[in-house]
Amino acid sequence: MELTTRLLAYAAARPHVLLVEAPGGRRTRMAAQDLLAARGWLPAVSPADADVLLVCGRPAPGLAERVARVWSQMPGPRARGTATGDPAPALDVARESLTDLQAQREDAVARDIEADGGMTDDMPGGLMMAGSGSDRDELQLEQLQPELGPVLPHWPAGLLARLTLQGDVVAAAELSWCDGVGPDRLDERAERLDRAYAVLSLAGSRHAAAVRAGRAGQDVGDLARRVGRDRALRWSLRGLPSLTGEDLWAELLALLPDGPVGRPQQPVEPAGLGEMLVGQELAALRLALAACPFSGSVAPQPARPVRGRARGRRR
Amino acid sequence: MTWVLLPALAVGLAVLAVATAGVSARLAGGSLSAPLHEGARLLVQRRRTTVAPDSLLWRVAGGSLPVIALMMLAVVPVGGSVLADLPVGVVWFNAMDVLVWASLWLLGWGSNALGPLVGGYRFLAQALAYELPLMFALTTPAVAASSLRVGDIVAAQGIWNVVTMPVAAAVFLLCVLGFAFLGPLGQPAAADLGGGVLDELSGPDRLVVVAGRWALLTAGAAFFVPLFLGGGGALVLLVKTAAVLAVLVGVGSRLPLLRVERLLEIGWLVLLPLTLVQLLVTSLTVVL
Repeated sequence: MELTTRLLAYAAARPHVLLVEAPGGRRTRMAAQDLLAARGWLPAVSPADADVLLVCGRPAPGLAERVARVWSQMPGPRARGTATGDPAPALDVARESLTDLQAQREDAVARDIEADGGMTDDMPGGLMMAGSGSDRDELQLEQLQPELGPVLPHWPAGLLARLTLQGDVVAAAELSWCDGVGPDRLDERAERLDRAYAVLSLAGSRHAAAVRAGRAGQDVGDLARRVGRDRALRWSLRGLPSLTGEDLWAELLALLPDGPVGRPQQPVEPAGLGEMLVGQELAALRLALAACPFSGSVAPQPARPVRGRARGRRR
Repeated sequence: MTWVLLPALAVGLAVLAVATAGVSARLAGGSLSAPLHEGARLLVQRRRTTVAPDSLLWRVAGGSLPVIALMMLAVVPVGGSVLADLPVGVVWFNAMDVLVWASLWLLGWGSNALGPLVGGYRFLAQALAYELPLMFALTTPAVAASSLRVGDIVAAQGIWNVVTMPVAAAVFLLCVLGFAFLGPLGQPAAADLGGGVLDELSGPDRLVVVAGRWALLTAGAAFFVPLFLGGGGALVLLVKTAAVLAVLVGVGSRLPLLRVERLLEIGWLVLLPLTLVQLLVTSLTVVL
């Protein structure tokens, strides 16, 4: 018992946190990213990878339903919290709950009981077989029809993408808002740096950390020059599609302060944009959507009463 | 008693792999002890499954990665002794790195989920880009020594091969990052796919795959030593391997993810011709 408790505590030193941004929670999500970096905690990239689920903002029904599904997919020990202002209290409570052996055991037992029911379908897992269709080279290939988002890191808040995939190539894409609303608009500088941060994170670039620090208001020098001189990054991103018309590399540079002054960007709506992504790889789709200036709701004021809560599920 | 080498190699592999993962985490802004915390975290974590997975293939594929790394080490001479002194040691290593193809594809297929499946596709495309340059990079020292036995290649080096065949050495290092799917060649396990081939794995299942990844990197670095750095006894081998790992992790941390599509371009249009020219030059020096 003593050993398990200690192992739990040691394991919880650097929890992996899956951040979910609800429309209206963009500043909270950004603050949470800064906090994770400061504490040396790690952002989780999928439910399987997550110890803590932190919902930033107040999710509408569509998102809430998907958040519940993600919660049920997390392996455990697990904890969840909601933050609408400062994310620190919710993260502290969640971390505390990860080390609570009793609560985690009860959670595990409750889930095992839940999992025993159901599963009576004839098809394996109740799934359909994949269909097939012509690909971009006129070959008949299998088609998968997954739904991406809205619980996905570095993904526009509230966005839902219904895809038809052949291998990792997009054969059709339909974009919409999960609950009718997009991410909040921030002031121009923060807005651009947040998108640049998402693109650089997806591209696995070492400059992402500096851009995040710049987004948090720290003086990080000439970002545009530093990123612009990264030839490997340019080689990797050049020529990729951008939904606002330029190529992704040019769009990324224009997002950085002191970068080349591009055309003022008009916010866009997701409907109809999917067609521009047909024939692209999934990686290119992820990057293009991260860079895209989506129109959204007006940002709520950051100064709001702080409310945080976290709990492991108990019976 | 060459069998004593087996536990020694396994321990050396584990220690170097953990240390390398720590240094890599440190370079990314984390702490040196990150692999230990991560290991503890995955040990207490519950296993999970997906809807209708092919569990046997999925688990076997994950578990095979550390085993493949150890089998790569079997042909590395430690001083005068080798665990398996095969007359075709170089080909053995090559066969082991091709086994990684099967492992990662099955890891993707077995999960019956999108992220791992696409990660598997990405790895196959990446392997198509690096495998032929890797084969020619492996062939070059063998041609110079007129033998496929790794011990003979060590004995044939007056001047280290890294000096006489730098292109083959550099290409080999890049390919080590490729079959360990780490650093700039980590797109099969990238964050945009929720971790790609790693997605849907949790607890001990994930631990085995992550450990296998670092073990593959370490084994690749260890094989570089007899091939290009003149080999050596246990201690020398350890130090030289650590140095190679430092180069891999140091250079890797400065590069972004190289997208597989671009990698195919560079693999076939740049690396393949370069390694062929290197092979030609080395062959001429042997004949003349």
